[in-house]
Amino acid sequence: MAEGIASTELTKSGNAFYGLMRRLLRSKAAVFGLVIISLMLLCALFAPLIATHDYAKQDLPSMLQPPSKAHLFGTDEFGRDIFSRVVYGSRVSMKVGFLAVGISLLTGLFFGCIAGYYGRLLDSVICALIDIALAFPMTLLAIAIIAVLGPGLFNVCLAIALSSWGSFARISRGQFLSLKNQEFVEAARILGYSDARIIFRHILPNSLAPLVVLTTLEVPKAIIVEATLSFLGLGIQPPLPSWGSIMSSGRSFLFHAPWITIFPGIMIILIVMGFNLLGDALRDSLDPRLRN
Amino acid sequence: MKELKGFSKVRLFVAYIMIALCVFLGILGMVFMESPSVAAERKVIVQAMDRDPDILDTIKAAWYSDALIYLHDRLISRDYDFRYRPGLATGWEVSEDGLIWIFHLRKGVTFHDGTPFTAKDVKWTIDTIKDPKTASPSAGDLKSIDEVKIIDDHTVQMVLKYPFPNLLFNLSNTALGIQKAGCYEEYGEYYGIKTVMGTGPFMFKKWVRGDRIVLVKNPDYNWGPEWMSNRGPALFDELVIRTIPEESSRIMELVTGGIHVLRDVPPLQADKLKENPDINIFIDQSTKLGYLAYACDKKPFDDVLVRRAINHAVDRETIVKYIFSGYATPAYGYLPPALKDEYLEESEELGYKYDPARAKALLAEAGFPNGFETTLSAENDSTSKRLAEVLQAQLAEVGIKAKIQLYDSASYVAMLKAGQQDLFVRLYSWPNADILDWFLLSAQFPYPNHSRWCDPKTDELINSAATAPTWEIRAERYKEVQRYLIEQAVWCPIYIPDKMLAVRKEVINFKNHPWMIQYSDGIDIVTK
Amino acid sequence: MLRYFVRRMAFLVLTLLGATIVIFSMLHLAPGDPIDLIVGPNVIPEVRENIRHQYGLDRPLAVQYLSFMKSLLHGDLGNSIIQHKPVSELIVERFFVTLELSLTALVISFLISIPIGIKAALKRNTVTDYALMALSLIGISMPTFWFGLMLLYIVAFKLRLFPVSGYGTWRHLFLPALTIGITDAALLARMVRSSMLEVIRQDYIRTARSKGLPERVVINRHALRNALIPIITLLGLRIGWVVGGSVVVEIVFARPGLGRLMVDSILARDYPVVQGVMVVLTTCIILGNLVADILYAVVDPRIKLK
Repeated sequence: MAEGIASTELTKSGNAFYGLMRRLLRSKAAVFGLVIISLMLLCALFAPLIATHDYAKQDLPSMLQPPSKAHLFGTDEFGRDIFSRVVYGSRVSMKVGFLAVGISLLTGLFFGCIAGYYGRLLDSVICALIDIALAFPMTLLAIAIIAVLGPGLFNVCLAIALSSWGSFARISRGQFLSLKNQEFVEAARILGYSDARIIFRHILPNSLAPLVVLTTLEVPKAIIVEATLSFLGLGIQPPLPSWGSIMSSGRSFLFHAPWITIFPGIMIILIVMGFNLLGDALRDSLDPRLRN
Repeated sequence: MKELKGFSKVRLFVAYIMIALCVFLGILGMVFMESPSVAAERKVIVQAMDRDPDILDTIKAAWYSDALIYLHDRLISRDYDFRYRPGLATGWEVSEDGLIWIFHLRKGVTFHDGTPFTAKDVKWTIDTIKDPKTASPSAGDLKSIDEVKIIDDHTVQMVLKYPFPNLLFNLSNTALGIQKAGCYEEYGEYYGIKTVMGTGPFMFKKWVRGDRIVLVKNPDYNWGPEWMSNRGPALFDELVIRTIPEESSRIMELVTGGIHVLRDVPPLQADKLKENPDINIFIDQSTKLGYLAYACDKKPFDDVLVRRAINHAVDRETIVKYIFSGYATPAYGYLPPALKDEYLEESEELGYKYDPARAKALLAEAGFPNGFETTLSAENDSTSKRLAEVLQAQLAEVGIKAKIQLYDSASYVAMLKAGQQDLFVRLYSWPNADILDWFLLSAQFPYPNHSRWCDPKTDELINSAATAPTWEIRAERYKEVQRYLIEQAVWCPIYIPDKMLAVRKEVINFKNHPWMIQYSDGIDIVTK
Repeated sequence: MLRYFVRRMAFLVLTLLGATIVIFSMLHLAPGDPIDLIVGPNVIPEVRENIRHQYGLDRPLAVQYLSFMKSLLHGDLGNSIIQHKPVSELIVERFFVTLELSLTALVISFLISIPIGIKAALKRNTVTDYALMALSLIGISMPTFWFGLMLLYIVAFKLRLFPVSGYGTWRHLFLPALTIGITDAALLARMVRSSMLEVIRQDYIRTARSKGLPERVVINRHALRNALIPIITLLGLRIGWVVGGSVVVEIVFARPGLGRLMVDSILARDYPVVQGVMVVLTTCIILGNLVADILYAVVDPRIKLK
């Protein structure tokens, strides 16, 4: 009987998922967001096919050319094709976005779960930690962490993760707090399931919804923070083409080659918009009050 | 949420007050900010720099702001031909053995606070620099001086430990701006930040840290060196030196009129700026040298064949054409030609021309028929980065596969001190042959001798040149040094960048000076 | 009310303490010897050990933290290793520059976002709403530094309306403050809109309408007041973001503020300065949050005054 209840909850969440997808696809904004994200992911995956030139190849005689048929986004100070660099840059930005948020999610989930599930002293301590983590603005903290760790792709991911885990922790804590007293968890306990099993197979799947929303909203933040760090010279080091580092080297030439800075910025705007649209739509779909 | 019946007006009022307070603070701030220069009658020339100094004190600073050149005078000045001429010293004599120097000081000179300039100021300045307690970065420049004696108010005698003709250079350099005796006690711990005292054509008015230094003309100044056409006060009222770290911002400020003078025009922007009718570009020979160096105590760079191969692998003409847009000259020697006395004219003949085939042959002879792998380090400013990438490609042509590692300035120095470099890119800017002492004497190992070149013959040649009894013999001996260095291929010299200044057309009577702009020598600005 | 205030103060102190612990430990969590971060690598071993002893880095961590806190409370933030001056001096010189930028940006942000958010809420699901929200979406999707560069290039350089960079007059302040203000307003506008929507849907609004009150009165006297309450609390939250944003903007527009000091010090490995600036900025942000919380308590009628 308890098993029945426990597994019914899981199926319920499965049905909820399909319902969610259907609602989501009805929203134009969500579809638009999904399209943009998919295009970006495809761009990152198939970069070698989409890029028109070798992103590292120098062609000094054609340096600093404005956009033309030969070079869609113009060339940089080495004569490298900016369009190709931007296309490959999507790989780096995607990587950082997902890796950083992934670490952030896992860390936040871990702490939130312990705080929410075990409660009392652990909860108070972790709550205090979360408040402190949330007291620092993200960009500032990321910059300070890079000051300590040094620049580089992995350090950037780490810095971003350490700056943003607080939100994940807070949400997952809230979820665990409210879910641990639900019937199906009681049922599972009666059945003698271990804590770990309850957490992973019962509470976790049901708490995913707001976390998914948060993820779609944190990935764009991570991408922007990475661009900012690279722009300041604290992030991805050249010649690796991340959008931020392209803009960073382009800023010396803002005076007569502004296209180097403009195009990567537009790409960032597009992908951040995409994630935000999707995230908003997800949040609206999951909000029970708006279902009516 | 229930309807807020009988909502307390008091509460809302308090809230509004708090918000208003924030807004008020903001506006207050704006009011207290300085208003823009009120009078249009004040003639102000604005120059841009890429960094702000740590301190405006020639004795304690490790990096000298241009402002120090205009705040102080030096014993010896340099004219438009870069020759050594009288400054605060009207003349000097050197004894036969080169150990006693007597300087006759100019009369009628006063500091900005009215105190007359006398021999005790010279003694105080030199003693304070040499005093280990001051920890002055320029102490090394004066290590040849044993003692400074005051003969009378306008005569100073310097006793040297060994003959050192280069003392002329050191005394004409920014580091030896003559300071007022006792200024540290008189002006306290904020000397160099809130006050600066000198005899120069400009006086210190204000320093907004990180933003700008404001100097005003010294109306009493009438002791400009004889070679200046205007020996009196400057023709304009204020000189502002602004700190603008972004290269593109400096250029945009120049184009929009936010600044009038820009030193170090980036070569890629030069053509565009030349087209601009509001801007004049002045080009001159610089005293800089850009080179590719290697750790000579590490394999395979300890083999002279490999070093020569690298020299043959670099295509200097291409680099000059594309990275510097033609605003540079290929370098084959170790000193820039602007150093007329010391430069070895045959540098290009004796040097190694671009010849990839020969490079490969030499590598094969050294035991590397298929080249080798190594690292190439550079700073991450735009020129060094681009240079590194081009060098990487050129080296690859002869089989040397170099991985590029970029550093910000502080880390770069740290890396060099730790001795982690293989191949690396460097640029020096120094108007004297003693730069070779600085970089290549084994006593300077491991830093600043980052080439890690410890060679007794080099030491012998350089030391003999540095302690030569006269300037002429010194120049000859430094030429020997250069010949030897070329033969041993200790560096791979690449380019000598042109010195380019961009000046807005409102600035009139501008003359280019080989060392620093002489603002008091007739330069003026037309205000509309 | 008093109890609430006391609780908030206690929370503030705890958060500040926690923040200082984090900032302090960053020095020790860094890979390598912390002494390298303080003195720079060009020092001979003897002197290194002397300085290690001088800075007390050979004592247990807890003791070090306590003395760090003690100095902090006396206003001593250590000395810059590059400039050999007290860090507090460097910070005081630039504090005001950042403060005026942050405050002005906040003001601009509120001036833009509140009317837009309210308008969008009132005209929900119309073209106006979609247009305004689309604008705000673009606003939050732009990296702040990119927007700053674009403004600099177009408004300052091409149109010559404002100076390209620098500090001193209100004209130098305008573009940097606008950069942060607009990007922040984009985010705030959406929050204002949703807050306003929440309020409008409330029963008492319906009551007011059914009473026959004109729409304008309904909005201004009833809806607006209540919608403003959560918005006021946002003031505190935005302070953190605005200060963070000012770091980048100060670099783009060459303003000599704390943000630029911090980044320059990071690049120069002047760690004591980085630590000092972090402490000051974090304290300001936490204090800002406190102010917002107090505002909220004052304004929210649900919290009873004792």
